[in-house]
Amino acid sequence: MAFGYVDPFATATNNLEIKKNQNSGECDCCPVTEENSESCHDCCIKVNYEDIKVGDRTAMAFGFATATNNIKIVTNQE
Amino acid sequence: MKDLLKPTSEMLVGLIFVCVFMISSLAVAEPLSNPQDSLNRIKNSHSNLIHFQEKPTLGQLQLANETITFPWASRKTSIPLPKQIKFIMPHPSPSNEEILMNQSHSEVRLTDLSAVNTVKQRDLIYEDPHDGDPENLGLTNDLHIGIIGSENEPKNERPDKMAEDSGIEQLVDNAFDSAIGENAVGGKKFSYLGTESARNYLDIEVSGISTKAINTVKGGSAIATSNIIIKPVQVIVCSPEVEEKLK
Repeated sequence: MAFGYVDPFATATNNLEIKKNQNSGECDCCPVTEENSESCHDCCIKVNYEDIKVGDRTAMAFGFATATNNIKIVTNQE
Repeated sequence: MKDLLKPTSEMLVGLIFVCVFMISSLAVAEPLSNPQDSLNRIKNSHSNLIHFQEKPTLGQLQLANETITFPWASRKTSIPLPKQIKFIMPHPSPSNEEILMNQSHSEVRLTDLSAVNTVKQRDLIYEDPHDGDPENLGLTNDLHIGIIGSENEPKNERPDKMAEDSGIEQLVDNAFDSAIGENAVGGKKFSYLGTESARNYLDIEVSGISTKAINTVKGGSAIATSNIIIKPVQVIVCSPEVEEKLK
């Protein structure tokens, strides 16, 4: 929200950036051979769970003013 | 004979003196005898008093024929307009606030960021890597990050009313939470979705962040900047000992 009454310059900015990186890659800790193919399983079964909530944000500028709301979320799960 | 005339002559001199005095007093009193003139003089004095408030003539004494100006009359008592504005309008100094978060300090409540005729910046940074909880053989990473602004203050609403307003998103969350247990010790959500051996659990909530910039002075400026940077890293590396136990 922006109101400019002195000069036409009022800026309100809401920036949101979310970067996610989840890696639940297979862990070959138990080499599969013909002998143990049935008993061997992935020993590193991994779950990556993310719950990201970004709710209400407000940026207001009145007059010759600038209001900025920057939110940057970068997650990395391995 | 001379003695007889002496009191008479003295009486005549006294009578003449009295007559002269009375005539002179009447001549002086004649201008004040007109009541209309007196009224006009009073009106003039009042109007001068009123105009004095509108146009101050400090340090000047008005007389009938001249005006006396005292030395301190040239001293200016009025303040230039920009200085007056400076006194009226607040001009706080610029500020830059930095808040660092980590695993032990993962939940904060923020107030509104308001910049009135100034420059304000607030940086909130979370950069904390997790390499597995040692209490659980390094196989779990549970983290909750909460950044709540003042716009999301808890309201005193009835539970049934809140349930009505929650919407389908809340229903989905509740259903999902039912599949996730609650850790009785830490109070954190503790997932056992299926048969996993290791997990990374991350819960981030950001809401109610308010930023306001207000400029009330012509030619001035106001800048309000709120930066929230969250960079969590959760890594689980299976050690050989753990791998053997999991086999």
